[in-house]
Amino acid sequence: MSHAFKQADIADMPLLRVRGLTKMYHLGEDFWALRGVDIDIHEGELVSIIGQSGSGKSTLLNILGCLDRPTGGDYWLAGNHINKMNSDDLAAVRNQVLGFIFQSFHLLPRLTALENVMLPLGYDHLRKHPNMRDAAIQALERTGLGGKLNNRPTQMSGGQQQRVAIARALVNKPSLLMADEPTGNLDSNTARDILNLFKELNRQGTTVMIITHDPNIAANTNRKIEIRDGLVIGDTKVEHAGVAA
Amino acid sequence: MTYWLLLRTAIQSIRLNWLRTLLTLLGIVIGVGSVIAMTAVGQGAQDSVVARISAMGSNLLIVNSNSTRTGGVSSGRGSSGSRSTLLITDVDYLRKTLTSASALTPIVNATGQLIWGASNYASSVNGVSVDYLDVRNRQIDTGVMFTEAEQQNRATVAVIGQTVVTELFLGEDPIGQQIRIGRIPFTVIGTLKASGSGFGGDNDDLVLVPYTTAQARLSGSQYVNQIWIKAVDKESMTPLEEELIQQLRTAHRLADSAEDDFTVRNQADMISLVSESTDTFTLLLGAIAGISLLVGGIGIMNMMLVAVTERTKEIGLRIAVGARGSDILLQFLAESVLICLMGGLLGLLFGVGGAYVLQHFFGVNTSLSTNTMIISVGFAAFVGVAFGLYPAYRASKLDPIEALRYS
Repeated sequence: MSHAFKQADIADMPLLRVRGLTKMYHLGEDFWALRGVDIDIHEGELVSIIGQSGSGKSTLLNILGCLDRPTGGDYWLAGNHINKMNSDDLAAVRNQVLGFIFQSFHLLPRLTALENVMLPLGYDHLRKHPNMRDAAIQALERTGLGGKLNNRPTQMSGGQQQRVAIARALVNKPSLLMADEPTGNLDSNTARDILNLFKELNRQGTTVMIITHDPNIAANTNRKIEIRDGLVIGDTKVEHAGVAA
Repeated sequence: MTYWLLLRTAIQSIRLNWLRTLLTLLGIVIGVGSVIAMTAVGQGAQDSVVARISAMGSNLLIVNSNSTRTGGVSSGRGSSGSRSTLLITDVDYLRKTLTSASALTPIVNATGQLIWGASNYASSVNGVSVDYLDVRNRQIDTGVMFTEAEQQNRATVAVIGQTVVTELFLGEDPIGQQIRIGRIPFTVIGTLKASGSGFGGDNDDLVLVPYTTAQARLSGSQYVNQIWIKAVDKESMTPLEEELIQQLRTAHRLADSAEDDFTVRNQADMISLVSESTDTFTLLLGAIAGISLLVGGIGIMNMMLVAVTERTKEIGLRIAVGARGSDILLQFLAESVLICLMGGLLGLLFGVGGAYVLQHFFGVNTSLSTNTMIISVGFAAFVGVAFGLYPAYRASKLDPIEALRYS
């Protein structure tokens, strides 16, 4: 927790809390993608949000990721009342509190791995980063890519590219990693490696949220929140047979 | 985002599309280059015209005998508007009365065919006083100027310009040679130093004879065509001009209601008149070149709009990792300004080079101005801002969700 935002107002406020979250789109007629979602996520959790396409999970992700605003309801993240913030503050939250990981990696092809990882540091208006290079190298080492600093995305495998993207999400030491179908473009072996990386990062203290449609991936997390038709229909602890907590 | 990072990001994307950037940049290069070269040509033209007027002498007033015409109606003495009104008595009168004139000469025009042996040449023959050299800032090259005594005696002596030396004497030494002007024989006693081509033609294509001789033997009248008067200094020109007009009106016995039957031209006025018209010329050239700079700006805008579309995904990603709208705006603005500045500096090289080529290979007089260079490169940067603003604004307003989904 090294971000520059104030801590929770209320002592027992979780890292992330949404209450009565709704989202409506005008698609000829009004369409409610979210119809009142309540979720609490605490620090140190490894959570999956699972739902089929059209369930509203993408809409939820965009709002939780501060890329979109809800129609109604409240959203607190790391003590910040998100739906009351202006767009520059939201940019700062994305930069410092959140770390995004996308299905298709979204690396900039003309930059090296190192430069891609350094990208978020350049947009940090609140903190000084005297040594961006070192911070980026550290993040890449955490994802096991310490030897590929100067490779460009086109010279790397899909798994390696996703590791670069995870390093980019980690470089600002965020409170919450948000991964949208992080293994969707990877073969099953690589997918397992990436999931293990998430577990490892979580063991080291990072809160991780994985959005997926795949029950097998959800089974790798510790808690499963199920979304359907814009509502939470299930919130269960995942039992890991034979795995020590 | 720090300025250093902005600059580095801009350079990265320029390098990625260097050919496209170079082609777009060409508009700015040509714009800035032509502004600099064209104004150099305009300024050079002005400088050379001013130099030519100055070469006539300094602090000059020129009285013309030609009567003024107002709206096509002659207001001179007598019924014929083209009749001369200046007499040799006016010259003597002015010589006595003008207080701040340092030198004065009448000019009696008499064109005549020059004949020397088998060669002949038509030049302009001027009947002048001995003060001519002082008034016109001319020097004797070889031989001597005629004297006051020769002037009084209506001596048939001539001082000739370098063009006449070449054309009539074909390079032989003319001093002491006998020539004929029309039917009248003259002795060449001196040659003038070359002064080059001046206002109203070749300054070296002339023959000077005493005005007394010119009147008696060549023109056959008491009239003079012009009177040239040199003031003692620049400050006394205006009072001298007023005094001159007053004295000449007295000499001509003009009633208070009558208009002047002569015109006085002031060298300073001529310079400012010419400067004014060449300033307009320079401005026109500069404006035309400026338009090409604007056209270059449109090219930049076009390219930046394409770049924004191409990099939609990148913009989405940058917003997702925490870029503010202003960060994106500045990023694209920095790129277009950098491109325009590069174009401006390249254009500066081409403009200065172009002026050099015009000067040294085409004989066009040019004069480079530091102001124009600074202004045109600055204007190029301004074009970068002006035409980069809209594409950058569009980039900053992209919806990150849509942008990330864009393919």
